[in-house]
Amino acid sequence: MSNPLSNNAPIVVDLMGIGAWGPAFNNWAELQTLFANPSLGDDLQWTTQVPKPEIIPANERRRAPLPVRAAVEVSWQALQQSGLASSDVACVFGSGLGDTEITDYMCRVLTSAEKQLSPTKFHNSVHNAAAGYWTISSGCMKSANSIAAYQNTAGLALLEAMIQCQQHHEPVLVTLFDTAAHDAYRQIFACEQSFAAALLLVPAGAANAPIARLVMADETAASVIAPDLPHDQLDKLYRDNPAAKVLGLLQQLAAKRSGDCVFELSPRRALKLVVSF
Amino acid sequence: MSPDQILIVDYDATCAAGSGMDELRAALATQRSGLRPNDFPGCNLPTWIGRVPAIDDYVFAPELAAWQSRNNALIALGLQQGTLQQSLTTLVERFGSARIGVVMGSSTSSIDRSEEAYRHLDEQGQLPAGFLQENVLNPHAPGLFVAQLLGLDGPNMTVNTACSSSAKVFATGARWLRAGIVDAVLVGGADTLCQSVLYGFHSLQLVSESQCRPFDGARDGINLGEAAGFALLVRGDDAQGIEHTGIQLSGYGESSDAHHMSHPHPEGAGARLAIEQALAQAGLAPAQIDYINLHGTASRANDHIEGNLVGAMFPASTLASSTKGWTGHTLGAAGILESIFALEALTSGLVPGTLNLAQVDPEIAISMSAANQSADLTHVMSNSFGFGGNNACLIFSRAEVAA
Repeated sequence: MSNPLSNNAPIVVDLMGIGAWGPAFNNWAELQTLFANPSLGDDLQWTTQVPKPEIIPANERRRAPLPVRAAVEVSWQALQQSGLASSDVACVFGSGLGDTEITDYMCRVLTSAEKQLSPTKFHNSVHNAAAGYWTISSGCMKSANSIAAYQNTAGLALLEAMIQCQQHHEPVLVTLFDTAAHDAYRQIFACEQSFAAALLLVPAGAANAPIARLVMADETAASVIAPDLPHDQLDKLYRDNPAAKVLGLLQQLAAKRSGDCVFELSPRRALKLVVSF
Repeated sequence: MSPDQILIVDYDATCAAGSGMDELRAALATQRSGLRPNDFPGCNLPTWIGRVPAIDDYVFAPELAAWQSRNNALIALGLQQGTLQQSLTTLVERFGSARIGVVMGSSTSSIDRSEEAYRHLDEQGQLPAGFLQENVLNPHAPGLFVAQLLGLDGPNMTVNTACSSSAKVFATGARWLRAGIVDAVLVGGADTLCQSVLYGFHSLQLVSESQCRPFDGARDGINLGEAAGFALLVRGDDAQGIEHTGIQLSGYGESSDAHHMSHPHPEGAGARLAIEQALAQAGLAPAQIDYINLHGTASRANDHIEGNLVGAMFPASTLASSTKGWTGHTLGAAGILESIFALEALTSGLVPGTLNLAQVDPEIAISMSAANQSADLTHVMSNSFGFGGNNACLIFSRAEVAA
């Protein structure tokens, strides 16, 4: 027995803002340039520059770990492009690996005799540190989520954000971020490059001149095909960094190419988005 | 029943006060606390903890060896309780395993295993092979292990919003069902004691040396605890022929404080928003809420702010208590554990008191008692607030009286 609501109300959202940060690009415009001129990538260093999101007050920013800075930076980029007020925007943050640098710090301190943890590092160790810094810095009192689904984090975060946008009739920011695996964690996770991206979604038709429309389509038969990214370094990023599973969608948005984009949700389920402009 | 209605098919929980609902019911009725003086291995902090001793007896089967962690052992124990797995089997037969979502909540995931791994680093700083557990040492470990144990392959994620994590799983579960992307959802939460949280909360000077005393004038901090809890949700229009609790999730609210990473908003502005949203979604006035299971951690700040907020928003006829005196603060599992206590109160009419309460802090304008009470309940609420200023409020109601 299927739900009549689901058949009658396809989930449709409009995209109003995009943020991006990673090796060789510090914002969406630079990533678009790279997609359009992949040969530029051959001359680049492919190392990330530590972001300095202006929205976090300087004294707080100094204490903010890299994953927080990256997530807040791309969130701020997407919000600014959308022209919306942060107080109106709910948020879903997704990170597949969490902050392995802080986990490494805590586990090391706990092997010492004193086991004296820094209280700041302890409260920064929560997976929702990025959501916390973002809502505090931007004065947002809306729902803030922080989710993990390992390699499927990008798909689940998008799914969650689109459903929330549709059912609550409110703008939702979805921010994906994963930083390079730290120290002993490099034995476990292949992730060598840091990446973050943000998409600002509004209910379909809620704003003028959206960047694109995303429709959630029947996904039972969809299969995930790795995107044909224009540079080896981008392929590697897509493969190893859970947040970067959104690169295929970003490439499609940069090229303004209508069509499907598929994310894995589980071994037997996928999220199929139909992108149109 | 309406497709918008979210019905609770079954639930169960395991914590220091008991493994499974039978033990927990008895512990609640007799006010038997699960707290004990700290005897957690490798931690000599003077405090009390809500430890689940049965975790130490759990043995991972050889085929599950790569899933080993204290948190996963607690999840496995929790899933063995009561009728959870029978109820799930009925749903799998009806809908298929790919149409059943999994939404877990946790704050530590399996960081206990990372701590263990770092105690075994070799001279080159390398992890021994037995700890190279990618499915355990990532924040989604609880969701992955539940799917592995139960053979579920629908959409699956773990909410990691600190101490509101496994309250928010109900909101996500309801949204997924209403969106029609799944036909049933297993929501849950699991957090285990580990050195990170014991020494971490100690570093914030939030840990009490005695048994925690929520809302008492003499309260001086929290006791940490561990728990796993689960609930199965379906849409009301799919409930025909499925045995269920007769209870629905009638409203949820989620909000942010926008104030501080580890200190709640001084007037509870974010908490108020979450409570107001939940009431609005349920279509209820504050006076219609019969019982509230408060977050009530026994920290100076939380109880002062939450107690005064709830005292101002709700009439004295709304009963309220904190059950942390039974369990300790179970962090990312607190949302589901205390929702289950609220569901139990709704079912049994036994309203738990606030254990260890001698006298309500005169600076907190709320009335509550240490003793259990009997009452006929229709609508109950559970509050959960976490680091990052992350708030969630849930309302559960008898399904037959729902609007």
